[in-house]
Amino acid sequence: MAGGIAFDECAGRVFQTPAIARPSLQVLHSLPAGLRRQVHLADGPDSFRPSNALGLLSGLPKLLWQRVHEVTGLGGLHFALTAAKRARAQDNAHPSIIIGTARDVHALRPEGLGAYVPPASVTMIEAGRRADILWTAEQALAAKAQAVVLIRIDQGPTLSESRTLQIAAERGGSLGLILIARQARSSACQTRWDCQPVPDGWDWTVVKNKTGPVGQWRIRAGPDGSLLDPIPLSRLTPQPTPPPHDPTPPSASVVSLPPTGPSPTGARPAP
Amino acid sequence: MTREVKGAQRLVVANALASEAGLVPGQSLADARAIYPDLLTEPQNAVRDGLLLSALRRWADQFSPKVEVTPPDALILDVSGMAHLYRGEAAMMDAICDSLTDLHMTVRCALADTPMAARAWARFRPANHPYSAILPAGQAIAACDALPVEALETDATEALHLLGLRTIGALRGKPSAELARRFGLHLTDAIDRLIGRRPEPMRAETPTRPFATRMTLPDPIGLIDDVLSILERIATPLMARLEKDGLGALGFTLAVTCPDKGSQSLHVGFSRPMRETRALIRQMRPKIDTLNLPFGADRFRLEATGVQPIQTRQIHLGSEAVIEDAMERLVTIVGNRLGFDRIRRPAPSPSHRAELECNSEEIADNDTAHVWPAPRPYRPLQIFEPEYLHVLDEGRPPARFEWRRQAYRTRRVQGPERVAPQWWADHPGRLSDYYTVTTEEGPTLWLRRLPMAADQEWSVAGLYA
Repeated sequence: MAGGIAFDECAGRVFQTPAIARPSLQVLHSLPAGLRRQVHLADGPDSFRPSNALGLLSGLPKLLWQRVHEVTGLGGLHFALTAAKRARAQDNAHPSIIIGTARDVHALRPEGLGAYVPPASVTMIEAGRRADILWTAEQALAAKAQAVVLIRIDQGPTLSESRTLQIAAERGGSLGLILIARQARSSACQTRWDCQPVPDGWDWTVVKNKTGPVGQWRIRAGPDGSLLDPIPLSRLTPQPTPPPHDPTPPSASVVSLPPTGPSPTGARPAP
Repeated sequence: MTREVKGAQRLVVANALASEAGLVPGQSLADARAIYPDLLTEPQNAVRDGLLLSALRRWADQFSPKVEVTPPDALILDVSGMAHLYRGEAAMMDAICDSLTDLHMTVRCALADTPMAARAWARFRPANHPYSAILPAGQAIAACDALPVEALETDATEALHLLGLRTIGALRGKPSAELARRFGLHLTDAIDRLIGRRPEPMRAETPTRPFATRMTLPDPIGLIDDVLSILERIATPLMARLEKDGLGALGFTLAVTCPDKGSQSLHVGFSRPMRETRALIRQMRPKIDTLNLPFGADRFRLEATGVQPIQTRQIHLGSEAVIEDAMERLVTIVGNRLGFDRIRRPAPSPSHRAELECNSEEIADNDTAHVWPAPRPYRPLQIFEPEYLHVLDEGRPPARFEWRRQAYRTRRVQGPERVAPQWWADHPGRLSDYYTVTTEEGPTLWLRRLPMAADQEWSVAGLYA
């Protein structure tokens, strides 16, 4: 299909080859996870992206497209917008969709958003109730818009809600980021990050990762607002006090700084 | 027809029989009843008259492509170059009058060189004038000399009568500079338009075509599938009409009328003009599911709103077109459930006030491109309604404070930025100082101080990333 095809805008869709009838969401739900993956793989590779992983900073675990990730903590919005910024650096076409209550969505300052992504590429959807937010998130993830979908929600999604979102993301090829204001619950998310602001930067902790390492990193902002290379924080944590019968002092080569900010709960040291 | 004018019901229009009995418009209803006790009157309904006039305008399309509506009671047809189609002006006039008589209308018609002359001749033609309703070409000036000054439709009529100038002919004998000085330019302007010295352009509207279809059933139906099939049957010809004209609609309204409890309207919108039956049915289906039709419905009417031309585009199979298409479909799906006003995008704010900074606009059918002002990085990412904080240690800003059940210690301060009220606005706001406070605990807060406040001086107005 080199060149172009005539496309009637009113038809509302680009002509597609009459594909094999795809199983509905309910059918997909009932399949075991491995079989479901095969159904999706049979759909063919995604032609939009060279890589299915979105790297935030060097050394950090990558965010996978077609997956849903959870973010907690006060710095979650910064983390998610950084991800949207990186996605646009990958390919300029990725839009951003922000879904939340009217209060959450209206708090965003347009110029502040503009520091991360062009404001014209942002779509903000105000959904009132939690059920509406989850429904809208599912629609946004399932629309083949290759978008970074930011979902601001109070309580984290439950396992079944999270699975629904995950399936929608797999169908649509978008990247879902659920910003949880209060508490995350056990869910089907690919990774879970805890992002806390510290006086001159942020602490990003990977609390859960299905396919990669976990750990904690200190992120600092450069003078021009760009983020510097992350420092693995597990080395900065104070060494456990040696048992009294051990005469050897702690190694002098390890920097020992007190942690600032809340201690990373549930974080395991990086391997 | 009566209408309340100056505290009394007065006649507005009298038909031929009433005029013979001696009733004239402007008379009070009591006087008219005294003259003719069996008088039948009806209060004037301006809305209904306007509807009748616009219906007549559509009817008049068969005679002329240019039809102007002159409220309250006149239509002007531009018949230049039309008369030969009817074999002459008189035959055309007869055809128009016959057609109106068939509609049970009493009309006064006139044909003249200028619209103003035609209007004047139709209203004020003397009964025993040699010319009939059609003024021969070039004779308008001579014929109109016999008309009364009311025909000029100016507010100088009474003053002219007081001066004894009762006809247009008497008026034309006077120097126009004098008339303009005494009565204003309106009067000379009206005379010029009457005799064709000054052009009077016609404001002929292009006829708006309602895009609607309807179906009436002999028996009511109540099943959802039946309603959907009816919708498909009435939508198909509507879409065909839209397609024929290269148009699409931003919204569709389906009015479902039940025999027992009246009409219910279902509305769906689209993020861009559309004319596809399948998409309409897909969006309409959840709305139809909510219908409550215990006794069924028997009348259906589908109307297209926001009709716009659709541009067919040539696109390449790139990711951007597909993404744009997917986003527009998402807006349609979500908008029809949550409302299109809930889907927004950021817009630049015209003000420096914090409460006006978070500005947004609807995204559907909005092609505005904004010019963004220079960024102000000293402002936070999120701005919310100021939340008062509890001061633990005094200071400016406080050295220790509590906000959202969490204690903070001030580490570094920038500011203040003073924002003055908008004295010209209805809600000017208050004079405020804003401080950027980096706390030991991590978050960077945007604190607001009200300089004149006695208590609750400090609050948190925003949060940095």
